[in-house]
Amino acid sequence: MIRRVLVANRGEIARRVIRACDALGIETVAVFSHADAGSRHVAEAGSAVGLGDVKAYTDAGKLVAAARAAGADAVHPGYGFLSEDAGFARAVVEAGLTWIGPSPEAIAAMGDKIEAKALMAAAGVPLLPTIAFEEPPADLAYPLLLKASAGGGGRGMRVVRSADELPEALESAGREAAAAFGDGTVFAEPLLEQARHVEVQILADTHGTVWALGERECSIQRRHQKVLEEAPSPGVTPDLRRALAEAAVNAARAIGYTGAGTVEFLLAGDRFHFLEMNTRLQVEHPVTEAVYGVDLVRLQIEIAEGAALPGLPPSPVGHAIEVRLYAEDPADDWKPQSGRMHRFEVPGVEAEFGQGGLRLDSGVVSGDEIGTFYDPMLAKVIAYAPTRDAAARRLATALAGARLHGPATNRDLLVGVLRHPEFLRGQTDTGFLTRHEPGPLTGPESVRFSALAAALAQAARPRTTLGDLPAGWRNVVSQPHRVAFAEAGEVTFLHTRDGLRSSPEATLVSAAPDEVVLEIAGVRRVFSVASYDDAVHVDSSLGSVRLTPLPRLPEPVVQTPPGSLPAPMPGTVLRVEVAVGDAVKPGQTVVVLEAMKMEHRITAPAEGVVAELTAVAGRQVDAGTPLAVIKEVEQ
Amino acid sequence: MLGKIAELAAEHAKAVEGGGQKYVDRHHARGKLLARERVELLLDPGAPFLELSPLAAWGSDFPVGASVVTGIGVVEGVECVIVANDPTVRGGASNPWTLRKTLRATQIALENRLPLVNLVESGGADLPTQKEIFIPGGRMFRDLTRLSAAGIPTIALVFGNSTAGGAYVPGLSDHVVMVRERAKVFLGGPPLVKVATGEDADDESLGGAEMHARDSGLADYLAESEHDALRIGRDIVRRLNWRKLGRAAKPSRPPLLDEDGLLGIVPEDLRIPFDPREVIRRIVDASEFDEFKPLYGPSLVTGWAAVHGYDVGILANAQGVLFGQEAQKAAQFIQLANQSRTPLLFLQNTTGYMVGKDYERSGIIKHGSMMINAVANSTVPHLTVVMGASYGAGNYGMCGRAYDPRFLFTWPSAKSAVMGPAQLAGVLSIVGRAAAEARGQAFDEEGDAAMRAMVEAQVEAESLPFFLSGRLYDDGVIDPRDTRTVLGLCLSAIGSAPESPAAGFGVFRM
Repeated sequence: MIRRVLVANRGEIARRVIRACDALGIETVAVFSHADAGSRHVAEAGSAVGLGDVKAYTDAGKLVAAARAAGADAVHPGYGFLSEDAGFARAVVEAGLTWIGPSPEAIAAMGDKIEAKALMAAAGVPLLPTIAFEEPPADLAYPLLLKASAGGGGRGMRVVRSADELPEALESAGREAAAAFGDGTVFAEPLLEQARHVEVQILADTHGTVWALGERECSIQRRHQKVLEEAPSPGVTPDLRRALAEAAVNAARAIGYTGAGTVEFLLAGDRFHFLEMNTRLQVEHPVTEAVYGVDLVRLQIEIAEGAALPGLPPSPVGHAIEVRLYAEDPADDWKPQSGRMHRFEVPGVEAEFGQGGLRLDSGVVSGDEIGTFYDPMLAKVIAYAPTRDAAARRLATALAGARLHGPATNRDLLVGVLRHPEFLRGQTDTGFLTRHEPGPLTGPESVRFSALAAALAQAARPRTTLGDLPAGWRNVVSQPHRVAFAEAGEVTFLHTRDGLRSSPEATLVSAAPDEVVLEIAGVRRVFSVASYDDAVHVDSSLGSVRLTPLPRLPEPVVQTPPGSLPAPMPGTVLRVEVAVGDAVKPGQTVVVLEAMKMEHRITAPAEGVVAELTAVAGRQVDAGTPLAVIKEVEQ
Repeated sequence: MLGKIAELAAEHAKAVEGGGQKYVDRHHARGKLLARERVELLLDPGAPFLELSPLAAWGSDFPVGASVVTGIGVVEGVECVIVANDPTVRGGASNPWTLRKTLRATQIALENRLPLVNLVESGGADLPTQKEIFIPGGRMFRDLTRLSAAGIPTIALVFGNSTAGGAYVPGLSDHVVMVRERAKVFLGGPPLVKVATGEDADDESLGGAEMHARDSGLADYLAESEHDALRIGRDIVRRLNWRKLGRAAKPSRPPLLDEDGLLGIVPEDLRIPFDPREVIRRIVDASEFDEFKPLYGPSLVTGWAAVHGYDVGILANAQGVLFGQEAQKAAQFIQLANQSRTPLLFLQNTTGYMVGKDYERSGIIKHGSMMINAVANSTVPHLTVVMGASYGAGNYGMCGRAYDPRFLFTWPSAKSAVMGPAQLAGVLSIVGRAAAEARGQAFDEEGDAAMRAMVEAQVEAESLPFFLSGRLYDDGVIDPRDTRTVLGLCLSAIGSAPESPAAGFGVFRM
């Protein structure tokens, strides 16, 4: 029996494992880096061990030492980090601890994708041909997909459409793979463009029972990164499901697999090909949990304890869809975003980390700081309903109504996919987001009305001086009040005895600092307004809008003279510290002037090159005499 | 009443229009802000602003508003008096009404200890009327420095011309901001300098912002733009370390009765009396009014209440006429308010003190004098609202303009004159008839009727609110529904200054 588990992970998956342990009465030990010291997973574990620097989650030695120090007798690796590191699994086992996962040998067998494919071929699992580059084939058929042999998660992957692109792609993919996995080996497969990504959940005990818990479809990907997963797949027929299950069970048996694992396939029409096997829990495991009514983490632990699975898996019921909410800005090339998540609330959540019609597995809670050290995934939201349409509708509505006050997220994209007719018809393949990139949920009109609501809420704030008097009152009316936001431009409003006069036009029902009710074209809408230091978030039935208030009286932009450095006062040039053509950094001393017995340093205003030098040491200069000209370097 | 309020709004709109669309457009085309745009940007968002004397110069040869905007507003949480020249009206030049309006604003700043912010852009004096401006105008500069001497900060943001005499506005202000390439501050411009000394000089070297910031030191801050100047101006106020010295407001509740009811209280015909309690209950906190001596001198209502959390003693005419009892009651009440240092609010609707043999015999002059004496020497702040009639010495006893209330506002329904137009014409007619009889001449009945009609019309016109407001006999004509807001703002402004000490006598029971 396991008594205390060290969770060698962070964020939502660490919280997920802790919840499963709590339910089993197993004590938990969290680990954390500097950056995560205040994270939820640390607070929720029974005890916690600091690992130090931000890369420590991949330091097997520190993790094992932490387990020992905290008296843990088992280690759960979660996903990512060292979850598929056979060396770590071995170190855990050698330390006399229970490894909650497959054997180090099984991990190793699937760790190298090229070797894994060979193994699968031997087990009779259908495969795409592998193209290795040690011996480049004479004539390659394009398009190709380059993959890192040692890794997953989209890193090291490149689509190559012609021979010209190949050398460059090979080099960058190799570099990326080496950086991410410590192994730069890449290989290629023929690229199937209209294919679905389908994977089968495997669960195997140590007594020879192997379950295939149906398939998940994860075709909706952005740059090879899954963003939406569902179970079952709309493209899999019962016959196909049986065939997939059989292939997956064969794959697992071929390597003597134990615990939870996932066999990934590419499905084109009714033909499927083995991609790889993930020897760990998947991010998207909750959709399988929902449909099969199981707790996969609990089963992982029980299998590690030697428990036997019942002979037959449960039968699937209903449909589940998961989306991954990322802190990334679609408008800024999907760059990961950081900052404080002031508010993180999904309406209608029935369960966290467990069974429910609407489930939230979140790594962040309101008030958390989002850093850029780790994966920008904030949370997974999962809807479970009798039908696919019902699940999609519930998930879309919950996401659209979520209060996400902080860095930009991919929420609008997710809702756009969930409401897309093609998605709802089940026409999903890995090219979906290349064909469609759903834009923001809120149009310019919604943004304008949200901005008006924000302005009215601001005006309704309590004021310390004359706070008892009506907001913005004037006995002589000359102009409306104006408030400008970067996203919405200027909105104007005026409270009159005949009601609100505003642009955009609306009828005011009520205004409070946190809630404004407007009637717009006959429809009454409630706008929730939340103001933070740098942004105002407005949530309403028109959508969620993040607004950046523009100052009424902005500070003037500092006007650096175009490179010319005049003497600030009359004096003598003491030293000239640069020569024409020298590169200078901002703040670097160019000339030293002596005036009134004091040395004055004339410094470069920006990075640049000394274009002219008129100052000569020892020479007297008047105030305003040009000393040098710095030509700025274009940034 | 709504009709009169609409007329008032139309007159206010004329003031807002300034020099008219053409000049407004030209001003905007130069990248400059209008006076009221500057004021709006200076104020705290959401804070109220009470414009003072907006109808100044009404009925004169000069545009309504007198080419300057004055008022009380909140800047960085500090209640300030703001004065902004309107450069779209003849370049912001000062005419006699500009001067009176500006001096009134300065007086309000001084009496209530409110920091003064000048938004300067004025072409100086209107030369054709210089005789009305030059000599009294010196007071403007005197007041500026007296404000400073009284510890009241003065701030000048110079947006454009501020030349000749105008140069002393920044010169005598505590804090000066000038806008680069816009502010122009010199005693003599290039032509005058050329004539006086033969020196050739341009505007910028004589009085540019940069020169004043770098060389003369007249400018403390060089602003890059008008917006920048306003930003710096707000920063200056923020750093004044300002503290109000009077009483703070208590928590307040709004009146129970609807303010819209104020529209129907004053009858069109001011000969019909109305109950001022109907007004009081619509402007005081929670409609609570504790009446003093309700059974004595019932033609004048006196009592205690609060407006926006500030305690006030209220005197309001109930039947128009003031009798001996009413005058004595008023004198006693004013003394009581002085004893408790409670500001007084006068709600005027008076036709004056009673005349007639019985009243003269019972000492109406003595009693009226008691009331006027008490009002004149009361040392608590007074606020006056002229709701209806304000005739005769009743205007004095009820703290008319000459009795220096801190603020005086007028409803559109009001009328003020030495007596009613009909009475005045009637008196002239009787006097004329007596004179004719004394000379043994026949009285010209037809001529008398014409004279009466003419006099009535003229007195009527000159007793109307716009005319009187145009002559600065009040601080503005207000929508009766705004009364509570205006009074609240004024009482808060009054609280900026310390309370004055009480006078040395006990309260005389009358």
